[in-house]
Amino acid sequence: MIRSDNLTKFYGTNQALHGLSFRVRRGEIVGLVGKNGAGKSTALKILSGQMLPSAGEVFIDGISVSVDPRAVRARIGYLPEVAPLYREMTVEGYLKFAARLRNVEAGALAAHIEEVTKQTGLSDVIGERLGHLSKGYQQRVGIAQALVHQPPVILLDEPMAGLDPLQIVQIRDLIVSLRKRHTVLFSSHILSEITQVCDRVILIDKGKVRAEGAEAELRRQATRPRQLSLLVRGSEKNLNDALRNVPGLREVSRAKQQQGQWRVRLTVQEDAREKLSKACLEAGLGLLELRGEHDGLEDLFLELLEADPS
Amino acid sequence: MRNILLIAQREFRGYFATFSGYAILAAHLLLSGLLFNIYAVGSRAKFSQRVIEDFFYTASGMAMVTAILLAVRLIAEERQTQTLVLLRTSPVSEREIVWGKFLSTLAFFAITLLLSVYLPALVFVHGKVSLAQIFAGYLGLFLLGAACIAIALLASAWCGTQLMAGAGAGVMVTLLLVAWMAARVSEEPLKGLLNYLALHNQHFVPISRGLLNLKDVVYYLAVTVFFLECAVRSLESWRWRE
Repeated sequence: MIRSDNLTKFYGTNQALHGLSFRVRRGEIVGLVGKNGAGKSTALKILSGQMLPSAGEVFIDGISVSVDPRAVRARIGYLPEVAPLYREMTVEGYLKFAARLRNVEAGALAAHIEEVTKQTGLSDVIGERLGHLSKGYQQRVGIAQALVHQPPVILLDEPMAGLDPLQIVQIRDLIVSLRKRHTVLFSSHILSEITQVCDRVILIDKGKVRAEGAEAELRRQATRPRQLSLLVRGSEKNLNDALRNVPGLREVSRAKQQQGQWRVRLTVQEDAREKLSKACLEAGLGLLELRGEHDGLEDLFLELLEADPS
Repeated sequence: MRNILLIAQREFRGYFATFSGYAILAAHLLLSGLLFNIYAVGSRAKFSQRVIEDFFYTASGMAMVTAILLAVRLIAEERQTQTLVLLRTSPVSEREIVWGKFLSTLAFFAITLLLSVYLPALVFVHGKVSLAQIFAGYLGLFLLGAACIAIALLASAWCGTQLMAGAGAGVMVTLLLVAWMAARVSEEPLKGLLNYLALHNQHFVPISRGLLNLKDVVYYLAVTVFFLECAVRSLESWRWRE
């Protein structure tokens, strides 16, 4: 549905994209992740037909952005980093204007507006002026304008930036609700949010794809050992037996705590939580706590970014 | 055409939804009234035809300033508020964006002109006035305003802020205004060209006297279309430059 072939973009002498290539299949929700300046927004601007690439080609629904930008723009809904809202307009007036710009016929306008306001939870503020809305509602209106003509492809640039935790959850649920009906590509810095919403993640750095796949696939590509934190109750002998029975563990620290409890920190190449918990129970230990430490997505992405691309 | 009207309609409503539209309209009417009383009517006895001529002379200055003030925001403001992206990611061409914005401002400008019609109409009270002269004068103001709106629209497309756009439009209009001065110290064929390019002296003054020539109408239409097309090209180039 979305195809980026060897996309290159220069801003003067500064090269923002270095042959960016990826695919997004119909009905997928894909997250574009990368550091500031990685080229996420530039890629989305080119995909939305807002700017042209210096080299390379983009196809939306099989149509080249360079050859027929107008047809491509009719097939996308785009939310930039700052929602493009005319503050003096009402929500209804704005959505009508956006729908008419995207060739929605006058007769179908009311149905489109009703559906999108229900979908984005804007029914209560339909008559409000955009300038009077909260940041969360403004972001919803921004998403609504991208959806109002029911395009097959939705492009969202940092849709959760600047929102409070409750608003992030609401926007996340909204994006999830788009699954199957639309193909969604969105960028975000909030990595945990991206993996909760996306089928796949594309990690870009310095204008190139560095890794892509589902979260589990990306984890498999990571080689850095993970840390586990274990809290058990029992004798030290039983603890040693349990640890010995799990291959690949390396003990980092051990501390005896009150009431016969032991806090042990371990490193491990693969996720060994299941094996370790079983070993503890078989050794007669009381398993009080077992959790992964410092194996967050941020670390995973940093590791992938630090890896030599060649 | 549908997209042009859609954009024009939104922009036109925008003038009435914000303070700036009313402020420019009020300032235009107030200053036009003052200039009419001080300069056109004055304290000395005058023929009605001369009063109308002087009125259009001052009104042309007001029209140019008002047209620039109304138009400088058209693209520069959308750039500042980052709303232009809505139009640029919709299936709308740059030409439709520029013409839609131009028509909205021209319509609002026409309203400001119409609201000042009572000023020359006052001359009817004590004198005899040629309706043809008033019609020609207002047509001239409309054409002059259209040209200035197109110039300001180009400046708005070039500049990142409304202030810069206003200054840019002011410089371009001033250069076109004083072209006749440059013509006086030039030799042919440059002299003829500069005289023809002069925005006011060669083309508006005859109209304000009631002499409506096709060549003057064509001149203003040509200037308007030229600057609008330059604005279209400028917007199109953003897709490469950005």
